[in-house]
Formats: sequence, structure tokens, C-alpha cells
Amino acid sequence: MKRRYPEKHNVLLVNITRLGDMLQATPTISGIKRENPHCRISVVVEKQFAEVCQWIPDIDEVISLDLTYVVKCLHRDGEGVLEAYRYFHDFIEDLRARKFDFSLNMASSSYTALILSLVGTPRMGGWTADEEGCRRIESDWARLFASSVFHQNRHFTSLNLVDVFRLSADVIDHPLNLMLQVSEEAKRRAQELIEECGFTSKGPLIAIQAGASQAKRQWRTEHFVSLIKKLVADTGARVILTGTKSELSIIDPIVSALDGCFGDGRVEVGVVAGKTSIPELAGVLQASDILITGDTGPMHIAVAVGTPVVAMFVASALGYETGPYGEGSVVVQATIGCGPCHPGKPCSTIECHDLISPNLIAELAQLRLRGPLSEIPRELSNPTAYRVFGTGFDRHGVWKLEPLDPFDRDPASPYREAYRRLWLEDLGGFVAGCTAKKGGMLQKRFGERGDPVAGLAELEELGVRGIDLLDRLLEAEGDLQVSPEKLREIADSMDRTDREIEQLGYHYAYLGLLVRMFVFAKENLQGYDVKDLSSQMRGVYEDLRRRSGLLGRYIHEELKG
Amino acid sequence: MSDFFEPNLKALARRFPEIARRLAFRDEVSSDVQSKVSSEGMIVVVREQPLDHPSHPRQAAQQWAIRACGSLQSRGDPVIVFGLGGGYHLEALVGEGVTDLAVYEPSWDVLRVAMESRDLSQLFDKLRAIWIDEIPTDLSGDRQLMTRSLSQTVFPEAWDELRRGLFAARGSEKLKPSVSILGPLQGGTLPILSYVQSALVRLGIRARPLNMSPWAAGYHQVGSLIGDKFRQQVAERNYVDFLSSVAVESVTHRPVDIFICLAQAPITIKALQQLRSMGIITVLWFVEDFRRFSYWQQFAPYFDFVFTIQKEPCISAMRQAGAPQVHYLPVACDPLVHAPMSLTPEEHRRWGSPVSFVGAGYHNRQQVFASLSHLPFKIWGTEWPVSRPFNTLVQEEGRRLAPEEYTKIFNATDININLHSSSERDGVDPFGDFVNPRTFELAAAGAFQLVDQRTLLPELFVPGEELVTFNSVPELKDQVAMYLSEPEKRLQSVRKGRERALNDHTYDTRMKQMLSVIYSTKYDHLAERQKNHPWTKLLTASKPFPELMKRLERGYGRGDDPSLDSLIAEISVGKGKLDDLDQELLFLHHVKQNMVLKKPGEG
Repeated sequence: MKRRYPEKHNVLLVNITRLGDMLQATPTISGIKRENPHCRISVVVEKQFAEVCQWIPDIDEVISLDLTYVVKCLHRDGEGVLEAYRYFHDFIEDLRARKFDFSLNMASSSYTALILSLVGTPRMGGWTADEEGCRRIESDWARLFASSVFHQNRHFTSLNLVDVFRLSADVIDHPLNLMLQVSEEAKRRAQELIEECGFTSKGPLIAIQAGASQAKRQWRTEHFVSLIKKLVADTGARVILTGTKSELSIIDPIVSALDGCFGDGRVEVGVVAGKTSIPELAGVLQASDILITGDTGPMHIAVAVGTPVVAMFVASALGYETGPYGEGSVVVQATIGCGPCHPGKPCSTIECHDLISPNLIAELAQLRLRGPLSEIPRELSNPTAYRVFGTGFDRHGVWKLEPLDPFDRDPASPYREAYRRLWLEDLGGFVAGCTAKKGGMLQKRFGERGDPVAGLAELEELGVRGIDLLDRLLEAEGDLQVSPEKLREIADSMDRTDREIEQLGYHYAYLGLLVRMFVFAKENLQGYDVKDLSSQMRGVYEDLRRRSGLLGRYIHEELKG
Repeated sequence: MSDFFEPNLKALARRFPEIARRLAFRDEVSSDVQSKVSSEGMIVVVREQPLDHPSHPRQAAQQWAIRACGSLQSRGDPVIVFGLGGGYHLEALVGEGVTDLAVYEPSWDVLRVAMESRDLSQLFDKLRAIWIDEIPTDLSGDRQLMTRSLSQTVFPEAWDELRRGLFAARGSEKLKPSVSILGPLQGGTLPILSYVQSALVRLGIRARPLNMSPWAAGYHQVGSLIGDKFRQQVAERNYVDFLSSVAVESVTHRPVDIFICLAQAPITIKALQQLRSMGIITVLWFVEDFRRFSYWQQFAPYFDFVFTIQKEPCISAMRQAGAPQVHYLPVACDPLVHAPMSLTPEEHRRWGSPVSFVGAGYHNRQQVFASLSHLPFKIWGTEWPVSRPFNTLVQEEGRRLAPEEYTKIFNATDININLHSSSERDGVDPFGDFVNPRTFELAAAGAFQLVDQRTLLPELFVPGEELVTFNSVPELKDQVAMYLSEPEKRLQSVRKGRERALNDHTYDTRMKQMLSVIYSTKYDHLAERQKNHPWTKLLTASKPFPELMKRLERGYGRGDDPSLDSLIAEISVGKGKLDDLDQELLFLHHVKQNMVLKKPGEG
């Protein structure tokens, strides 16, 4: 594998956002430790998530940053500004004193980028800022992350963000799941909570996480009610509802609707929402046979404690990006023209929720309770409404979603697979190979006029033109006699070339990812020396040319099978 | 002549020659001022009222000096004493070790009688300054005022004047109040809003204009939608009520110390009461003719200070209406806007003319300018008739002009006529008193003007030297003809007029004058607010971080609020290397922008 900084001694990881993000960082953390057993790993987290880090293996030190305090101070203005400044100044001084040799920003926010920039370690990964305060994305893998989450490109990504982060930290050897330790005390308390539910049946224990982080990802109450009724009726399940205290407003109506449904004296549904700490929730999920959920923090916890998951991905959630990072879980992705929608945009109709029926989820849960799935029965197939995947890893330990529906023909799939191969081979140095099965259908949805790779040859040609322009520029820079007009002409041509490249990326949706990588690479040229910058830019065009050629070849191979 | 006077005069001349020279010319002393014998020496008496202790002046002065020195932080503090009397208390202060001692005595006669009664020669040597009958112009340096109550009883007005002068000087040095200026919806006063704001900022005052002009369209819309006059007035009042509440909300959110309303600013009595209840000093600068408007009568009591562009009977009328403090403060010019300009030939063609007038078409102007229609004459401004002769005189369809545009007209015109408006009289108003903004603006722009005579004009500009005036329409016509034919005669008054305007009549000067008046009575109030102001606390607390403190000081100087936004204002991403402080502040900025406060447990 191509690696920039495989050796690490004193590592700083910045991951201050959410619980789910913290868990998704665990393969990277453990991977760093596996590859560098003597290195010290410090993690900067937001104060409210610091406690969770106690249960994450391989972290030597948790440094908590109290952003809530900072924001409260800042909203006070006046002396509050100074208090916030003093707090953060001391925080940075403290980090500097620790003399880290490698730092990795595992978030993509502008403020975490500034932390890395201020700490100033010799080697950095992920988002940071240059000396003028502009965004700087270290490494191709981190740029791939930025390009993949660029909304229009999400259809063509199949690399889980856990792996993209991991690879941006140059980690190859890693656990094939998320990591969270559950203490004996948490397990005991979880067992007590389950017992307190007073279940009357002995069926499988099915955990359901009904709450979601966004309103538009929130499955309807009546769907949950139907789902639970079916699970109880079909399997005699004991259903346990998890969540936070604030999610009781979602859970209570479900419980009320189920009141009296199962006959006198029968208790089939219990609520532990609002009663569990995170380790206790992990204990409850570990004790459960399966978790049914959306794309949530508890989904990642379940994976981390080895419980299989049936996860619904609706609205802005995309299973390829953030699906359960482990083997043997089931992902159901709603198929709708507007999905996955933009995370920042509200939705007043959320039709995608109704594409996934309670019956389907109940059936999938029952199938998964019997064992890992390799295929779903024909009667469950409906690729125009949803797609069903199983989770697993390829031979390089890179997570992937395998379609479980043999009748599913996803037109984006050949492009997605071609991109996966491109990135793994070109950025990672892995040998990925073609994944298409024999007899695959020729898909033309993303090309034009019968050409599935329309626009790609032009893109490659533009890469060649860019290389030629840079060669002329490098030659002119060494020539003292060169006229300003000539330099201006080259600069104008480069400008036109870049504009044409970007236009192709917007015109052909499937080229967006390749072009965005080009844009981010161009944005991240470093230094002030003209010659050096020209050489770097030549490399950016060279990457575009090479990747365009490879992508075309891979798409054809995927399409032909 | 006593034995003491000549040696005292010599000593005075050595130390303060100008005072001695002026005293020497005053040999007549009022019979009100005399000396009397006490057990410890001669004392001075004014209208039977002793200025020193009648029996033990030395002993009493000693006790007074000990008490007075208790208010000093050190004996080297600068001190000004009100009242010379027999000089015993000054000697006692010197005896107490006070080294920077000055005295203000309102009466020349007291000085003379004292010098005739006692040997003061050694005392004069010890004094830093002595002022007689004239309040010192330079009272800077934070002088402590020490008052002899005996002198204060005899000269209460002089004492009050000195006290005010001291606080005004102290305020100018030490106070940095934040000020909001509420402008009118429309009209000729509108540009004054920005002139005042710019001037205050140049004085280092944090000034925030509340520009209400964008709301003017809404005000007009009320009239266009509601036909009935009474209902229209009710709706207009409601509209003003709303605008007023917006203004109050603005200063509630970002508190200020002084709230200046320009004439016709949309404010209600209720809003003024709210502002006062917040401890904000309310000020009205009534830059209109008090005879033309009457609304000030209801509003006057709710302004702590009213400044007018007219003197009597305006000031008395305002006081009569309940205004606690009324002061004369004429309008002025902004040298950055009203300045000589180099114009292109095209601009000269568009804006220029041998004779021009800029202003609205009031009754008297229509009367006068119709008679000048035979001249090469351009009229600029609103509210002019569209009939002859104005249809050819009025330029660009009588639209409203921006200050930059009328400055171009001033510069491109040979003779600018400046006729003050009158809605009632024809021609030149013989009783016109106030001086309009155009007078100052034309002078500052280095433009030649013929201005009608006003009673308050001579104390602002010397007629005939610094500008040229006329008293009647025939005189105006004669002068136009003369100055058109003899252009070189225009030059002298232009140069002098500009000098005078820049020296004495800028908005910077006016704002200094306005603030001095405010400081003279509200110093303690403002000082207390300043002490508790977030800026003061923030600057004090930032001392351990010198670089941050420098940046805060610049934000304070700019008039910013004490917030992160002020600190961020100087940072330009992508335009040069950022230092650690820049990056730390950017971090805080991004956190504030992106972070939503979450409850614990929310993932």
C-alpha cells in the first residue's frame, strides 16, 4: 500500500463531534496501535463525549475540550470573549507542550482544522489550515473524503467513511469492526434493566432505536407500532426500546399505541430509553439478539459490541457512507429519485419513509435472527422502492456493501465499483480487480448518446492539455527572455482548461467525483515558489489524466462483467 | 497705595507678566471689595462677605488645607483652587506640600485688594498658574478642583462655570461614551447623520448611526393607501411608534450612553422615557427653524440636552417648554465631503454653470429666482414648480442630490447663491437668524457664495471677508453682475471662508462642543457607566495578553462592540500569513458560528 507516514510515536487525534463519529474512529485508533505498538495515542474530544472514550480501547489519554463552555462564554460577549480566549489559548499551549509527531483531524470542520494548524505537528492528516488560514486537506484520502461527501457525488461512493479516515491515517492492519468495551458493571446493570421490563415471553430480545438525529430521518410512529406487532406475533419477541431521555417523546406514543395489543398480563415491550448511560446502553445492545434502527449512534454501538443490525437508511442517510462497520448486518436503503437528500435541507413530505414497510423490516429481522444473509427471498425484492445489502469486508479489509437482492440492477453500481477500484488501486496501491458478475447489464444512465463513459475522453484530453501547458510554463520560467504576453497566454489557457474540467464535472454526474478530487488537489498546492508550484500543478493534471484513463477502463470492465 | 502692592506686582510680573500688565491698567477698585483687619492679618471682603475667616484666617486656612489634601492621591496632583481671597488657604496648601497649584479668581478687584493687603510675593512664586475673571481654556491634565466655600458663596456663577469647564476637559480626556444617532426619515437633515457619526468616530467615540431613511418609503405608503386624513395620521403615528421601538430595541441590544436625535427623527415620548430609564442621556440637535415646527414643545422635557441652531427667543422657548438644558450649536461642514474637487470637462459640463443654486423650492426662493431667469442659471433640488421659468432652470427633473453631487455643483459653479428658505416671506427674510448647512458646506468646498444676511452669521463668518452677503434682491442682482464680470474678486473670500470653515465650523468641532456640554453636567454619570462598561472590564482583564489587548484597543477605538466580531474584523483569510492570535480567534469564531448548544446526552 502507498503510505505517507506509517511510523508514529506520539499521536494526536482530533475528533470532537459526536458519539457516532468517535466510534467510527475506533478502527483507526486500534489500527495505529497495532502497527505502532509503542506509540502513545491522545484524543481530543468534546467534553460531553470524554466519558465514552474510557470504553474505547487503545486510547492512552483523553484530552477534553469544553466547547459548550466556549460557546457560552462567547455568547456573553465582553469578558466572556476573553474567558473563551484564555481557555482555548491554554488548551493549545498544553497540546503544544506534548510534542506530538503526528496529528490527524478526524472531523471536517473549520475549527478542528485550526487546532491542528495551531498545534503544528511535523506531520498531519485530514483537515488543517495553511498559514493564511485557508482550508488545507492533507493527503489524497482526506481529499477523497471531502469529494465523496460533496453532495452530487454521493451516488458514486462505496467506501465507508471509516475506511477513508483509516486510510488517510495510513493504517492498513485494523479490526474489522468498531470497538467499545463493556464493563461487567455495565453488563450487570443492563441485565437488571432488561429484567425490570418484566417480559412475559421468552422470544428473541429485539432492540429498537426509534429516535433519529434529524426529523426527516424519523420513521413514522405507526410504522414502529406495526413492526413491533408483527415481530411479537411472528417470533414472540421481547422488544426493548432504547434511546435518550429526550427521545421519550418519540417512544411514548409508540408504547401508548401498543397498550393492550398483546392481551391481558402479557408484557412484550419494555422501555430503557432515558435510563441508560452509554456503557449501559452498550450492555443492553450486547444482550440483544438484534437491533433495528436508522443511521444512529446506537447502530454503531451495536456493531461495536457484536450485535447484528437491521438498519434503515432514509432521507439524507446513505448506507455506503456510514453503514454498520462490521460483518453480517443488513442495510436497507430507500430508492427514491431525490435520495440521498442534502443533510442540511428540510423535507416536508418524506415519501422515502413509506418505501420501507414495517413488514419488510420485520421479515429481514427474522431472517437475520436465523443467521447471516447471503440473499433475500424473491418476494422481498422491490428495487424500485428499496435496496437490501449485507455488510462485509473485501480481501484488503475494506468494508463493503454486498447486494442481497439478486434481481437488483442498480445503474450506478458499475460506476461505483469502478471508482472503488480506482481509489483503492491509485490512492492505496491495492490490487482490487473487477467485481462485476458475468452477464451484467450494460448501463448507460450516466453517460450520453449510448456512450456510458461520455465526457471521460474529453476529461483525459484536458489533463493532457494541462500537462502540456505546465511544461510550457516550466520552460518559460527558466527563460529570462520570455515575454509577459506569453506567460499571460499560458495562464489564460490554464484558466480556460480548468474551467472546462469543472464544467465536465457538472455536466456528467459520474465525473463529479474525479473532478472534485482535481479541484481539491489544486486548492491544496503548497508554497510560494513559482517553479515548485508549477511542478505540483503538473502533478495534479497528471493525476487527472491517469485517473480518467483508469476510470474509463474500469467502467467498461464493470459494465461488460 | 500700600507698602505691599508694588513688591507683589513685581513678583506677579516675574511669574505671570500678562496678569500683572493687565492689573496695572486697572487702578479703580469697586467699593464692594475691601480689606479688613483680623487677629491674624488682613482679610478680603466682598459686599460685607469675608473671603477669609474673619478672625483666624491663617488657622482656618490651615485646617481647610489639611481637609482638602485628603482628596489628593499625592501632593504632586495638579490642583486648581477657586478663589484667591487673602491667599491664606493657598499658602496653607503650599505648606502642606502641594506642588502643582493654580488658582482661579473671578474678580480683578479681589486680586488687587489682596495684593494691597498682604505680602503675596512668595506665594506667586509657588503658583503654577493664575487666571483672573476668565475661565482657562486649557483645563486638561485632570486638575482637582478645591473650592473655598466663602468665595463660592460670593461668586456662585463663576464657580459653576469653572466646575463645568473642568468636567468638560476631564470628560474629553477620560470618557469614551458610546453614542447612537437617530436620523430622520428624509429631508435635508439626513446627511447630517453621517457627518455626525464620522466626526464622532474621528474623535475616538464609538458612534452608531440609526439610519431610518430606508423606512421612508413605508411612511409614504401609508399616505398612498389611506385616503382619510385623520386615519392616515393615526397610521403614521403608529408607524413612527414602531420605528421608535426599533430604535430602542437597537440600543437595548447594544447599549449606548448617549442617544442623539436629529430634528424630525422618528421617536416617541414613550421611547425617550425608556431610554432615560436605561440611564441613557437623551439629546436633541434641533437643526431646524423652531418657528416652522412645533413638535419640540411636547418633546423638550424628555431630552436631557437640546441643542439649537438659534439663540433667543428659541432657547427661552425651549426652556419654557421644559427642556432642562438648551444650548446654541450651529450646523457645520464635513471637510472630507465638502472639499475642493478636480472635475473632468464632462463633469464641468454636467454640473457647472456661471450661477447655480442648490436647495428645495421654498416660496421665497421661487420669488427671487424667477427674477434671475435671464441669467445663465441652474437650479438643483426638489420641490420646484415645473412651470416656466423653472422648467428650463431646474436640472435633472428636480431630483434629490447626494452630498457628493452637490459638492461637484459647488465646485463647478462660478457664483453659488445661498438664499435661506422662508415659507412666509418674499425675498430675503429680514428677521432670519440661523445659518443653514449650505453656508458652511460652500465655504469648506472652496466655492464662492452670495448668502443672504442672517443675524447669527457675523459671529460665524466675517461678511465681506470670508463670504459675501446681500440684504435684498436688487443687491443680489448687482452682486451677481459684478462678480460675474470681475472673477478675480471672488478669490479672496473663497480662501478665507474655507480657512474659517475648516478652523471653526466642522462637525468635529461641533461634536466636541456638544460633548463638552454633556460632560460638564453628566461627567459622574458617564464615568460610572464607563467603569461598569463591558469594554472597560474586558480591556482591564486582557492585560496578561498584550497582543490581544492591542487588538481590543483598536476595536474599542473603532467604536465596535466588545465582542468576538470586533476581534475578527481585522483578520483576512487568504491574504497573508496569520499569526497564532489570528488563528485562535478564528477558531473561536468558527465554533461560535457552527456550534449549537446541546444538552448532555444528545449524540
